[in-house]
Amino acid sequence: MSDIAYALTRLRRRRRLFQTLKKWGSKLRFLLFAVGTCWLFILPSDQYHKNTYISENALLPGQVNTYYSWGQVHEATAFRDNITLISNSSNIEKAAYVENELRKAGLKTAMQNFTVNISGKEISGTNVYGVFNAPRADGTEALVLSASWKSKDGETLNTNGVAIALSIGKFFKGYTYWSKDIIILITDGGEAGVQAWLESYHDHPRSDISSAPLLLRSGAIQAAINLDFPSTNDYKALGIFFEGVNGQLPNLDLINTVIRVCRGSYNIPIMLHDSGHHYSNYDHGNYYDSLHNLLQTMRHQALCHPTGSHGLFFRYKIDAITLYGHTSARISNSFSFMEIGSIVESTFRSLNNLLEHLHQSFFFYLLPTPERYISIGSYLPPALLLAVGLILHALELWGKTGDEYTEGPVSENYHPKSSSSNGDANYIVPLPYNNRPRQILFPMTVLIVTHFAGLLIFFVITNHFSYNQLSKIFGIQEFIFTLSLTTSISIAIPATLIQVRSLNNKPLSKQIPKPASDWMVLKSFTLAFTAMIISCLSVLNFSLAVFISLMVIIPFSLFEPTPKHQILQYLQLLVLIIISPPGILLFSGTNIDEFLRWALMEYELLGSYLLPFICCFYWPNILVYSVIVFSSDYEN
Amino acid sequence: MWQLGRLFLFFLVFIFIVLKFTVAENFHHNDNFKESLTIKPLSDGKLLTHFQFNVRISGIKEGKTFNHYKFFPRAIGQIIQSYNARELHLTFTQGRWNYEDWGYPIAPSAGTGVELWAWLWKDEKLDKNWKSLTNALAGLFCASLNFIDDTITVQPQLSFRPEGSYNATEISTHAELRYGSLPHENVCTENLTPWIKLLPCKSTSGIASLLNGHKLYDSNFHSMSIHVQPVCEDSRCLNKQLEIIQTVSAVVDPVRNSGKRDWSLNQIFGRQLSQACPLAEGSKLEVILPEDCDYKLSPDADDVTHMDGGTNIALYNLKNLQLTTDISMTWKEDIFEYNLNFEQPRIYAHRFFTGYGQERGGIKVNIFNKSPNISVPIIYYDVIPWFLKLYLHTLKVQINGKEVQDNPIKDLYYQPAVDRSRPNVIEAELLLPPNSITTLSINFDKVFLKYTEHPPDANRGFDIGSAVISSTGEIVGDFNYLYDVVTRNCSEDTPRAACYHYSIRVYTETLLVSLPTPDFSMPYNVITLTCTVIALFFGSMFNLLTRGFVALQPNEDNKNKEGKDAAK
Repeated sequence: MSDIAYALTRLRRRRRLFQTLKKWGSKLRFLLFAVGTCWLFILPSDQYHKNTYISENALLPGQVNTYYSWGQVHEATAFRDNITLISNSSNIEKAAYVENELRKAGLKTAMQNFTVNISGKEISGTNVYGVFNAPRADGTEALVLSASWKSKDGETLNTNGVAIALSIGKFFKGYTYWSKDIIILITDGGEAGVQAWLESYHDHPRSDISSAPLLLRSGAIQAAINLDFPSTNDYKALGIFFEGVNGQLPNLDLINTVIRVCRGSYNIPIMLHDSGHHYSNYDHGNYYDSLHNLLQTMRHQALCHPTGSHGLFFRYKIDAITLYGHTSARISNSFSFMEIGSIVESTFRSLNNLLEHLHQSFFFYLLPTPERYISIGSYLPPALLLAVGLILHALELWGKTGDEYTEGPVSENYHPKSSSSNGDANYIVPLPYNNRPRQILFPMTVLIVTHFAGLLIFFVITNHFSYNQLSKIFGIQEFIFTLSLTTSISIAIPATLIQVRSLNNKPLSKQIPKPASDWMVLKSFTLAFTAMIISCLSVLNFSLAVFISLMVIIPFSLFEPTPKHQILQYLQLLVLIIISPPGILLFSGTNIDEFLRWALMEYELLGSYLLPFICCFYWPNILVYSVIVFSSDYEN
Repeated sequence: MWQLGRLFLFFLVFIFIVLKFTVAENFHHNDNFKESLTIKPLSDGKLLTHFQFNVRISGIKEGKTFNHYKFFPRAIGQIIQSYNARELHLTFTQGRWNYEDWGYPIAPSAGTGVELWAWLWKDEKLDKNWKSLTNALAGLFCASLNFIDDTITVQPQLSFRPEGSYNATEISTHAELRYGSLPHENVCTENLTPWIKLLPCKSTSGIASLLNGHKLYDSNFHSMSIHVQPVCEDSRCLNKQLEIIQTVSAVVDPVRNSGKRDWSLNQIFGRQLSQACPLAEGSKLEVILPEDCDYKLSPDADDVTHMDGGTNIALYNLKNLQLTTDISMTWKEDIFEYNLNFEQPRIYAHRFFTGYGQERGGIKVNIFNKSPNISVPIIYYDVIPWFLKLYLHTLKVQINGKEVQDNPIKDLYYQPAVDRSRPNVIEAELLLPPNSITTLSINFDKVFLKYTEHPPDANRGFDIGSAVISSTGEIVGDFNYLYDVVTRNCSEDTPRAACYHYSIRVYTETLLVSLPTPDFSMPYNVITLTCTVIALFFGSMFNLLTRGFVALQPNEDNKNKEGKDAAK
């Protein structure tokens, strides 16, 4: 009686809410999308971000007198000349030279040979490193100064970088104030070398790198600075690279320290990465410089690709950055060994002060300029707004497929006050209420099958290079083989699903009310699933989440079966093809063979999750949508 | 006048009696004191300086108290007697001993931090005595020894046998061993000053006058220790003496400043050696000469002795030293070249953590046996704190990187940890094959500590003390490398062979383990606290605020009620 009336009021309230949502839902979704997207473009704005600050008091950057002086510069120059002389020698000879120099400086040294067979080619090399045992220290902590033989372009010799590392190693030996061991690491074979060394150092083989176990070790590595100063000339600006595998970032304090040191001692222009504006003192650039820097960072993060050897350290809880010497900036002043040496020395002195592992400052941030930051609290909302739009849409569809009021005069005319004073159940006319059964078997099947297809595609791609023989039989190139295999999987599975459904797609006309169309439930599920992926990913890898959501939100919201307009249906399919991974690759004109090699190497060697993510989460959802677009709509 | 005379006579008699007693006491407790400074140039251009001060007090009956102190420090004597300690070993070390370049240390303990172990006479309050002993020593040496509590204290079963003379059955029935170490204890002048005060001559004369804090703590490694132990006076051990050995070892680096390994006392200590301590029975300075002959020692040594292993030792008797003599050693070279093949001791070890992340990990130790054809039995001793949960089934032994058929572990003593009360202890007796690397590895899970159990510097991690590798004393063959150890414990009058039972101990590096650490920062605390409060109260408060309370009366008509419902 009264309970029923109460339930009725509740129902009515729900209904009003639901109707409002239905009425305004699409507008709200559009609003959320628009606000989210616009918000992204506010990020680079000067009013939005804040000045960086040193959070860890122990660091005291730039507070020490540096002793790196002309004597060391002469030594570094000598090292540089020697390295240039031996630049054409074999890896082992070069490593032996470095080992000899470090040993002469009084460091303990060791070499490490490694080979790895990855993405169809064998990478081998010789890492060499020296450990300076800090006097009176217990050797439980260490700092790494690393330099790779090759600069980041993979061709130019990192001559100055190695020379500075050697001179610094020799120079540090002369002082007793070190509280942490210092490891001078010269790596070979690009990222594979660094990965091999790190895996052996932590004695934790993860990738397929085979290398001899290290017998020379130090303590837990607290931070690492990687030097990339290609060739032998002077530099105009100092580039800072900080993105690691899977978009991980070093503690902001590390970047801040280097920048403060540069600002304090020498007025060296600083750049983020190797392009864009170079910032000197008190210069924050304009909006477009910031936007450029943000886009660069987000691109690197979205590709899950480390921007240098430093990116591999993060897995082991080691904060690291790469310092890069940039030559072509249009600045009259240039700097060389003296400045670089002092910067490295001062940075290491700061890191040496650390009593705890770097933990005070941010690990999640975006840097629009070297000295301004956007913290996670400020950049996360737009990504979440985008995801919320999808969730609302999913809920709306879910509501549509289920219990629904039929729009009729009866329900409108009903008023509780019409019930008589005798208040009996008979007087309460139930609301016209359409309880539609939801059929979730087919949508669930589609979701499971497409994700299984994603796994299959992932399997095919990861075994890309084992198909050598198979592809030879067909007389085609490997990558075309893999591509055709994955595409055929991605075509066959949705096609089968559509076919299967259309065969027994007889809406049970007897059943009243009619169940909602499959595509609605399916779309609701897919949207919810996509929203979940985006919101989870936005915390782990904001950039990837943003790019994915910008790409899929509009098609995913708008697309639905339009049996009456065949052209529209095929147009939707075309868009889906364009935003599917092979479509993106083809339309952006990427060399697919190279891309596959690269993605596989990233996945197998560095543990990047881009490839599994694309194959197992992104691609299947596109496939689901191709099913949605072609499924029949018996609603209308 | 007569009265004055009588008083004088009385006074004389009194003085005579006092003197007689004092002399008698002196005769009875014949303390003797020796000091020596050993200097050894090391293969990497560094210089080991080892100060040693021995005080022996004779006519001591074990377990009996004595109250007369001449040279023997009263502070130590009283501590030992009131807490019933038979043997006491306390070492403060800062820095790592670099076994590969430096060989074995002369001081027997070289593990980073503070190490304390004592054999205590068994009685009902032994554990209380140990607690009190740590507290007393903490007070005496201004060190955090009082932090050696139950969670750190260990009773090793195979390692750390008594170093003084002892009877095996007597020791096992009447005494018990307690061991504790603090790996992250910093050592500085506040520890050295009380240590110097225990010396008969303090730092006013003798070699102790060279102990200059500024220079000592600018070294690459330094270690100071106190060892109190009973020793036999004669071969049949009828009479025992109580001996206190105080040592300071420091490794200085002359190359760092000058590029050359030349040294002089003045340069390394910043002080002059004026004279021997007048109270010392013997005062000597030994220079262990390097194998290359390109050096010049000035002034010439009083004596050069040849040891069995071919080592030559230049000896200076400081008793007849000229005033303000500066002993120095120079090499004929412009600059010191680090040699690539360094002196390697027979047995050394490196220990490290494996894996990454804050959930689990492993610990691995590589034990090297460099002797070309001798299998060496050793005892591996490792204490792992309770917050690392070891899995004994993952204990693996590999030799030269391969699993081996016949297990090199001959005996294993394992004490599993009990949370918050005792640590894991592994003691393994191993036989190291010649020219091999034996690798022991074990895996563990990291415990999520209660937030109050984290130290103030929570993100630094926790220090794990050194593992210790002790020789079992069965090493036969050539003893060259034992020389250093032997000189420490053997005076000239003891037969050399009797000294060999002293075990060599090799310490591995200490380790730093990072456990899962909550974010202790202020904003985080505020967030968690406020979230908890809101979560607790929001639901109920919201419910209370929004719920309509209606008195349910059976005869009330429905209309009214519905009206109320609608009003909501």
